[in-house]
Amino acid sequence: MKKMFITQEIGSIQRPVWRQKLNAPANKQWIGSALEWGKKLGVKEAIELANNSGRGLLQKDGEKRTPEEKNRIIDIASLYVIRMLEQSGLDRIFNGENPGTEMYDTVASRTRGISTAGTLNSFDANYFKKGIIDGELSISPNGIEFFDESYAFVSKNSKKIVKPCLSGPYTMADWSYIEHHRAKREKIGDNPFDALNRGRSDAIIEFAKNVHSPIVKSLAKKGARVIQLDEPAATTKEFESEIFVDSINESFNGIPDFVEKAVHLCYSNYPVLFPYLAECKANSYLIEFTNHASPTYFSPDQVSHEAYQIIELFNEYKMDVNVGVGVIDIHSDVIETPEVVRDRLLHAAKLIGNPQKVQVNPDCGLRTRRWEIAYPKLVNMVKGAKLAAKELGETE
Amino acid sequence: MGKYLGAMLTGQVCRSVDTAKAHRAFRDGNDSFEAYKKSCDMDSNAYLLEQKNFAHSSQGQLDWLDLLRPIAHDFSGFSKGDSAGEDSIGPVTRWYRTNSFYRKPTIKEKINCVGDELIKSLPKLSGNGVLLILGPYSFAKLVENNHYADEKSLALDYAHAVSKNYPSLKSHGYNCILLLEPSIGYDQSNGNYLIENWYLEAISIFKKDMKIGIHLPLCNATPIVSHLEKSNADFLGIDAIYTPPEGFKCKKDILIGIIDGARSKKETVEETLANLKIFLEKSGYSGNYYLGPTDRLYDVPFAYGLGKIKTLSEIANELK
Repeated sequence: MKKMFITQEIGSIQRPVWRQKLNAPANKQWIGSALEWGKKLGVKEAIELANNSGRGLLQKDGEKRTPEEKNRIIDIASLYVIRMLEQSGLDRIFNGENPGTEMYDTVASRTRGISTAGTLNSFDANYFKKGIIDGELSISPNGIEFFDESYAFVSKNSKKIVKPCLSGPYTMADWSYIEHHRAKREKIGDNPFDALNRGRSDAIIEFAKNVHSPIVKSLAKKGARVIQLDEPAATTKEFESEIFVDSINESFNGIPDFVEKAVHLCYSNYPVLFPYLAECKANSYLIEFTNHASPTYFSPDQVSHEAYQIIELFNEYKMDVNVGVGVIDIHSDVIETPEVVRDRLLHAAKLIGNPQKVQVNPDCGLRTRRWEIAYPKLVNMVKGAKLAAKELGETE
Repeated sequence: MGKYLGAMLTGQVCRSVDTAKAHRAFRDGNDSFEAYKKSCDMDSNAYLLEQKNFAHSSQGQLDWLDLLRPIAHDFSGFSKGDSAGEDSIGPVTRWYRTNSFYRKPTIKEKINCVGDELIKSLPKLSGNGVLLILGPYSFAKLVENNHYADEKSLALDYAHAVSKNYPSLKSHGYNCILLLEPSIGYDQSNGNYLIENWYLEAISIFKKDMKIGIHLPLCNATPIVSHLEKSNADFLGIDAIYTPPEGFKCKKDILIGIIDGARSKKETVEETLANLKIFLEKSGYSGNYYLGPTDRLYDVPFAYGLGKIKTLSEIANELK
């Protein structure tokens, strides 16, 4: 029987400062924190970071570290996240996005046809790099390798189900200044307004065909059984919902049925995706549900109407999909209790009508929260999922 | 032929990459608030330095987390949430068709204030400062209203509360308020904008002894301007990319958004002046005008924003 309430993270986990500042001088406080968390999470490789010899990776000044040593620090940071997610009890895990930079740049820096413009603010202390599309888009040779290796590293170091994730084609295009495709359209006589819109569509589909599809195909070939495209921008321009769905379908084109095709959506006006979403080949949608709710108690009146509305729409359009219910607010330090998580899940299960179709996740990546907060949030998330399953009669 | 009145910003601006790093470090507990604030101040100074010859200057309110936050935080009437921290104001909500977000505040009681709230979030300027805040239409659309029976009473109380700050704003160097109305353009694109009579009443409350402008980004201003002309705002701001010059008419002074706030391309002085000439000739507009960006410079990186302001500054030198 299929498990109810599969638990997972969305993708990002905050990077420890010693991972962020690879070129900085040795710092006692950072070393202390690395050792403390290493012990707490059972990371045996922590000893490589700092040890009695005084020659640990973090005991050296950053400028004196070789590229190999810096890469090893990144690998060890991934191991910290892997152990954290394992110890939280999650069913599916990844690497906290440690090997990359941030969600846009991780894909953009491995794509031909993009140059970096700079950093923009998205929300409070959340920033993202924005690029300029100034040429035809295609994955660079080391791009596929990067995603394959990231997947292989986690698979090698954990027995859990590994769920690789990457920013999807629509989000990548939306977070770029689309100059090349716009200019190309202007050249063939489109007026500026049409050139902008058609140029966007061209770039979105080009991303899907030439960047995402090759990555996803390769990951599936390497053994990934669930692959997640992150599409926080999905509803940014509501009149582009059809092209959004086309881009997801193109990205997953040719992927076998036994691979779960997941899409993460957040902070969006989900109903605008319909009716087009009904034609989407994805079979799991991981969505933010807790943003609008109280972090400390559950009440059906306090849930995110926008989020729960999508369940009604899935039902209305008879979409047989899994719904990843965001039960953790990633913008709050309040640690949700297992009971609140349970109640949110039971409410969602009731609406969906089949608890085996309900998956469990935070609203979005937990990169926004310190480990002292993120870790207990994940622990309680898993406890809450178990309580919900128990309530519905599932035995462990 | 009308007169050029000077330049001004039309919204918040982007923080630099150093400030982004300092901000993240502060959030993650790796650095102090002071370090973040210091970096913000450096960005502010860089922006202000480029606006020396502007009609009205602003540091772009880059330290405001969003245009509603200081108001929701410091004015009374707003829910402060049930926990400490970032989440205390309201849910994270998309800012129109962008990848930026704001906290949607909830109004639980009458909006009010003492009168010194806004200057807490603004640098002191030597004069001719412009405060960039939401106009009554957009404000009413962007909050969660759990108190007022209608948008009119909400908007009027908002206007009253902001205007209570005028004495302190003036002593802080601000003599102009640009009321930003992105919701009008958004609603227009969905075919459902409606400017009701209370809007003009709200503008008259804002007016008092302050210079007031209303800015309409991302929309064809022509059909809207005919409504807003009746207000006692001093000038109306338009987005020259979305507003076709043909058929545009306005009896008031205008602010022409001529520099594209959403594009990475840096406009040159020559092409901007050429575009201005086309706009004025094709529209036949002969009143006085300010120049500015089409919209906020929040959607272009710091260096690009500075570059665009620099172009406006060079144009100011040219036209003077």
